[in-house]
Amino acid sequence: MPYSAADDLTQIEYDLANLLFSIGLDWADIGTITIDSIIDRIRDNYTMQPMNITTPTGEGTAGGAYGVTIGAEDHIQTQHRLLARMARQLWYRRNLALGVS
Amino acid sequence: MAHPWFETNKVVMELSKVGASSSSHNLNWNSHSEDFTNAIVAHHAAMNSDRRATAIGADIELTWWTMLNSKVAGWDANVFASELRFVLFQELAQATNYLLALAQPSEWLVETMNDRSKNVTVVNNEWLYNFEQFFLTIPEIAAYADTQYSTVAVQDVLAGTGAGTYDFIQIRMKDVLGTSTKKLDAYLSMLSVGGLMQIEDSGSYGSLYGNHAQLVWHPYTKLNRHLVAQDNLTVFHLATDDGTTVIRRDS
Repeated sequence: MPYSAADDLTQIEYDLANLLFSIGLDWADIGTITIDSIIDRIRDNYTMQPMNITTPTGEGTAGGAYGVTIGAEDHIQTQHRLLARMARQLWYRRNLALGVS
Repeated sequence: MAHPWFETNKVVMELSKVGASSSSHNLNWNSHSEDFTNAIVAHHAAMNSDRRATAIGADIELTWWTMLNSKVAGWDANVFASELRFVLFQELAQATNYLLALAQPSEWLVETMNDRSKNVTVVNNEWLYNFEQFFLTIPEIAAYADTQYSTVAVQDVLAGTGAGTYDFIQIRMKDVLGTSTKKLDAYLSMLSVGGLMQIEDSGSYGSLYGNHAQLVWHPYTKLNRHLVAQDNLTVFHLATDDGTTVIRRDS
């Protein structure tokens, strides 16, 4: 059986709907949701807030390269990277599947 | 300057021999593959794919075809090295029942699809579309007389259709990326006892190897650690340019 855009789209949209739910968006609004709004929501929900520890002048900002993060912030960063990667790939693949369906 | 791995892969290409250039197991990046890449880039342009930074970020998976199309120095060796591993593990496995999430545009795969002692099943995704539309239609590839393969939807893999029957499975880490390990577990369940699975890009095109902190931070770490935690698997993680994991199901 050749490629089925319908089957592909079903799985992509199932995964995308789950992702939207996890960041507080609703699949029912997919007609107005954009990749920009998805990424913005991920940034809003999963932005690392480094501890406000002073670093030596010229050696990065507080909490930056020479700063300190706690485990919870590392976890937030990991979730941010995971969700952004998933969102971009699903959005891209959805566009391709829609284009040939 | 091209990435150092591109230079490394040039050596890989120079010092490997996988069939003669115009006969069996042809892995050379030739006009077939170049036509294929050009067609995909044109297709993506026609689909009006969003190329803004917020839409594709730094995701190499979303810029890969454009990168190939721009002929970055060493690009052909980079593709060759990836396909070389693909063939290597399958040759070693001596498999007869394949499940591939990645229909690679190589004559080696087409020859496998023409071998009636083997069954090839391809997962229904954008790579299958590309393979059917832009590779099988190339006259030299279309000339193969008995190209046969089956397809399976991701939904069916998740449902366990064909579980335990495939002796060679190839996926990419992006195929199982998610907030859970559900898809990874589903593909693992497809593997027969003694069968091999190859996971491409398990190092996220090298980003997993930047520093040791990635073993905590990187979103692929959880999936890779999940593999190691399974009692019935032997797991080999190879730090290649994209990262390659080979798994054998022992029980």
